[in-house]
Amino acid sequence: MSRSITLGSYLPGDSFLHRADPRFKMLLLLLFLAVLFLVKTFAGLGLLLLLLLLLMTAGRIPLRYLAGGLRPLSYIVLFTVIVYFFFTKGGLVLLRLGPLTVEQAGVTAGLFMILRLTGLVFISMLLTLSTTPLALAQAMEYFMKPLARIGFPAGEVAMVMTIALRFIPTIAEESQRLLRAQMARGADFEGGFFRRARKFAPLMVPLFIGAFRRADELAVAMEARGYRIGALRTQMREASASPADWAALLLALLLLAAVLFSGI
Amino acid sequence: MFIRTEKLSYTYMPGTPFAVKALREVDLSVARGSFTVLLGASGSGKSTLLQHFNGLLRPREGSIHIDGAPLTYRRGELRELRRRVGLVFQEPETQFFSETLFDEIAFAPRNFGLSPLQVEERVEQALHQVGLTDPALKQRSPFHLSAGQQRLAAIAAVLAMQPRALILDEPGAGLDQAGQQRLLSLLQQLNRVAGMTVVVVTHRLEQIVPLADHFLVLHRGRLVLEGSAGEIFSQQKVLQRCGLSLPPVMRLMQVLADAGLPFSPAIHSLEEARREINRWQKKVTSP
Repeated sequence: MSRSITLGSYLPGDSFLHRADPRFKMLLLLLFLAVLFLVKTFAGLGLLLLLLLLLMTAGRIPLRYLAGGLRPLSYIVLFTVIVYFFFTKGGLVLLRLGPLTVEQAGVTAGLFMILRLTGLVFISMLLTLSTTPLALAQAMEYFMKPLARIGFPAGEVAMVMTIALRFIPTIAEESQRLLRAQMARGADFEGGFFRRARKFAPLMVPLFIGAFRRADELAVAMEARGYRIGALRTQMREASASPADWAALLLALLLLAAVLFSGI
Repeated sequence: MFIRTEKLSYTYMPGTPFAVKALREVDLSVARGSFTVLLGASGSGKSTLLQHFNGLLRPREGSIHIDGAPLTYRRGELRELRRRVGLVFQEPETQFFSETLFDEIAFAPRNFGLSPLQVEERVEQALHQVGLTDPALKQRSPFHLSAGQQRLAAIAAVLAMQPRALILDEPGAGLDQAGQQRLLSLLQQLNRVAGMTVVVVTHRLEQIVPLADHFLVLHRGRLVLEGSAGEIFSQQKVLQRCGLSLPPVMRLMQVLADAGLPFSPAIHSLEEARREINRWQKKVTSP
């Protein structure tokens, strides 16, 4: 079993964040992202991050889970910082490295971008940590439904997503098991990337064989239980919006309008 | 003692809402050259415990001694440990990845840096030990063997390290009767002839009891019973509480003992039960 907490994992809980309608949560995420990229000042960004912290506390989601989501993005953040620091010019020259300079505007823009990316990761994490993959897939299906009229297989795509999400932990567990099983046979997966890549076959071949076998079994099981492509499927749990969901949506729209008009 | 644990505890994903205490303060010992059976319902921590014996898992608390020395989890030590303590996972044939059976068995010896000549020798020996002696098999794909042959091949892949102890997690699961029988006689032979320490997790008691000399019972991560067949199976109440189902012969003996008749609940073979019942019958009917 893996200990690492990754982007996209669900943290069971019973906060208002967990109970909110997943469709509204998705809309709110989009609105928040829009606001995040429209905000122009540090003050506005600070306020947004404060709002995030508030949501996090109310949702009873520990900060380290959100911070864990930043780790895979560390290279992107580093790259962004380098680009902004060296290529955005203006203001005082803070550092001179031969022909390269780091200037005040670059540092400001770089820091602003880091905070923005942090906000982006945190708000996305808040959604995935407080919503089960199944609920997310169902919300997506809801939004894709209008596309079904022009022949888009909304239900099938949602099913594919649901199954993919469902099997991420299974495959992760399986890969851990295989890793240990091959280690028990003297395989050494430590060392640099290229050393590890060379030793990939003992891990990847059984993993793929297992995945194909599982897919096959699942397909048979689904057909045995009457799953047919194109058939109308209903859901056991219909998501339903509460007044609180509507209120949150309204507040988010107001926030968007406020940011647009105040230019904060 | 070949394996000894002291207050061994293990928790999966500690510090998260998913934390599971899999082992709690387990103290046990497995004698060198013994045939030990580890019993427990699913979720009792058996597989977790086994993975501690060759250093795949590191105890959160407590310590493990293998062959008299405490494990320190240094890299060199771990490699040597995994060579000495061979661990066969559940459904080990799902680990196959090679194009030929030869390469599959050779994986472990190659990992330990043996010369091609030595590797060939090891593969030869391991296949011989498990009884896959047909030379044509070596160049076949391991995926094209029968289920029983695959299981034996997977065990050979571990035996090729020439371990001193062999640890198997439900080695008979999913095999037919003939496959089970073949597996048991292989384990018996490894234990009695090759002098290997064997630790087995299994649910099929009636077959394994005659082979084993030491039993461990886990329940919810705790070691609740440890001892010989007689010591373990005279505690049927405890075993049942642990979610273990016992062979019919043992249950019958327990019923008779509960009725106040002079039978030991540890009688596990049909022959012994018949003998005891006959003897008791004679005693009762003779004046």
